[in-house]
Amino acid sequence: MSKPLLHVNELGKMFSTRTMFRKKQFRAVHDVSFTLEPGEVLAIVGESGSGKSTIARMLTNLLPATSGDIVYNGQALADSKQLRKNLPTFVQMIFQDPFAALNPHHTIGYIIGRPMQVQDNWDGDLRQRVLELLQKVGLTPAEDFIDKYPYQLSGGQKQRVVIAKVLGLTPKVIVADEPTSMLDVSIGVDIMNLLLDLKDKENLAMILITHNLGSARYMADRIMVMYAGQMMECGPAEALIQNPQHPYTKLLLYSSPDPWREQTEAFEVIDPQGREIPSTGCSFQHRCPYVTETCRTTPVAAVHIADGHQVRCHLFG
Amino acid sequence: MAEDLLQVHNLSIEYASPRGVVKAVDEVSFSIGKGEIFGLAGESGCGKSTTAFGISRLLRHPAKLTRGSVLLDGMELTALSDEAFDRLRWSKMSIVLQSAMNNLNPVLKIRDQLVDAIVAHEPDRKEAQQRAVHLMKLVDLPADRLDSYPHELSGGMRQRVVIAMAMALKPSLVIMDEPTTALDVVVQNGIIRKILELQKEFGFSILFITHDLPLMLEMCDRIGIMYAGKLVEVSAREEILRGARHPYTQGLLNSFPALSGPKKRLAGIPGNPPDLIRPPAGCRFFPRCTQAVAKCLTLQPALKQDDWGQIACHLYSEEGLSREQASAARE
Repeated sequence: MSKPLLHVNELGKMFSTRTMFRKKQFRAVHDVSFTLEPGEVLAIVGESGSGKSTIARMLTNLLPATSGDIVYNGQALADSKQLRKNLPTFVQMIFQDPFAALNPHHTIGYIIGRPMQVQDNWDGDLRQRVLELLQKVGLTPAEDFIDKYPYQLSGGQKQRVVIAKVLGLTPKVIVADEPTSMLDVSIGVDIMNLLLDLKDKENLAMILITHNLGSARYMADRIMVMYAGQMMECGPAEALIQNPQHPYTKLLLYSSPDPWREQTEAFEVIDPQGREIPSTGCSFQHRCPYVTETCRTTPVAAVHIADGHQVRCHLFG
Repeated sequence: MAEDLLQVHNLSIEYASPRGVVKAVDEVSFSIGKGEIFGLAGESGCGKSTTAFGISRLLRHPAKLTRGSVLLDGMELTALSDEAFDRLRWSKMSIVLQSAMNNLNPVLKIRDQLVDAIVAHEPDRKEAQQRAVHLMKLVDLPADRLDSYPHELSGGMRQRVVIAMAMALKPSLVIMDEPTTALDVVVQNGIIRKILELQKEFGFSILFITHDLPLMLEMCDRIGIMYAGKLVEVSAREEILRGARHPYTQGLLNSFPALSGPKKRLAGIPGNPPDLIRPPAGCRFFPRCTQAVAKCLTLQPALKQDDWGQIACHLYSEEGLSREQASAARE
């Protein structure tokens, strides 16, 4: 593979806050690397504050990265003004809250058509194109929806409009940030199925950001588990779920409800009691039942334990 | 089942809206045994929270309890005066709500809030102070957190404080409305374990409300499934795990991606819940049901007891279609 569709290399993000006398720095994302191929779904999983949404925002250039590279088709985002200008036709984002993503003053037709006008992405009959897109996302009969306003639609229908709007720009990569967490479960499944079908039909690459390991397993080919801004484990979805390696992945799986699972491997849960994430050594040490002296002092590098399966843990050093 | 602690009979709650009357809860009946954990599951708008608010008299205008009776330990709650009901709160029945931030007063220290709740019923301030320290220990929080303000605590810690408060006067019923929904899974798991541990220790009953059916199946003894204001199925946890019977329960179970077992495409449930101002004449689930028969369109099924639990579905009416037959029909 010479040039992956998307190559993220040692991506980092620092946020600084300044009070009158002090400057504080917070590392939201630290040394994250991955690649993405057409037709592939990568799920980024982690608790709130693990940096997963920050990665999404950097990928779509909503936030500048402080270190590392984001390379689309061999072109680095930071180096190419042309790429930054055309980025909306390359990568598109689906946000969590479809209720907030649509401007209540405009019709569905306008909302879906406008980005194509702005990006000069369509020179045929715009209305025809919007109808096609509505059909594609299952809002049929499309004629009934095109002149409606967002308030006339249900949550699931709104999320479908968001997806139609995204597809209008024919992106190669879709970044979906918790696309179903605001929806009822039965509606959420429909949205997940729609995204999977579209991915297959259009050979889209997708990054799914979620806190739900079940949806990650359902949607993704590969799963990346994040903790405190770092990748802890990344590997093929099924292998990672059935045979987790990193203690944090084990903790997440152990904590996720699944009444059908035969038995759970016992896991000693250590309550961090509000302690902050340690600044030296492994960032998971204060919650890890397997912690050793090395974990407290030495930073951990990611190691490959199998083909395409990486773990950042001293146990695998 | 042992003696019933809570008996809800034909509870109906309505909202007046400009378009007409919304029947948010429509003749719902169920009971909770002493020391039992009863779950109420369903999607948004199905009336599960409204039911809880109706029981605990927390309904706000324009919601109105129009019919039905609620018996707690043999006492009719709907007939009580507001003062009498207030004496009952915390001491016999307490409630834990979803967003712990909104349950705690942001300008009061945790200590004052805990003590306030206790003193309202047992006016010995000194004893209440000691009780507060003890309560914090109960939910694994360090006692020095008593002097924190709510914003100084994490979401999980705040929810633990609310649970401690609910335990303060050893109530016999604790209503929990989505107590862990806004929390991360690891924190959620810690809190659920704590709840189960406390329940074992003190033996109170829980009415647990969530949309998260897998979570409910892990912790509840019996589960009621609500759809569009109606209770459609009440079954023991094991029965539902073995195979849900009501088509809606089946659809709901088929909407959660599992972590174990073979990976299969989930069907979800096509369509949207009905308009509760003008609900369908027959079964409310009929427009979305894949197994509907002719009479589902016109005749509303009643909740009936059979060998496996209670169910409101024509597929299981007098002819006595067993689960095996039903699952065969499903294939």
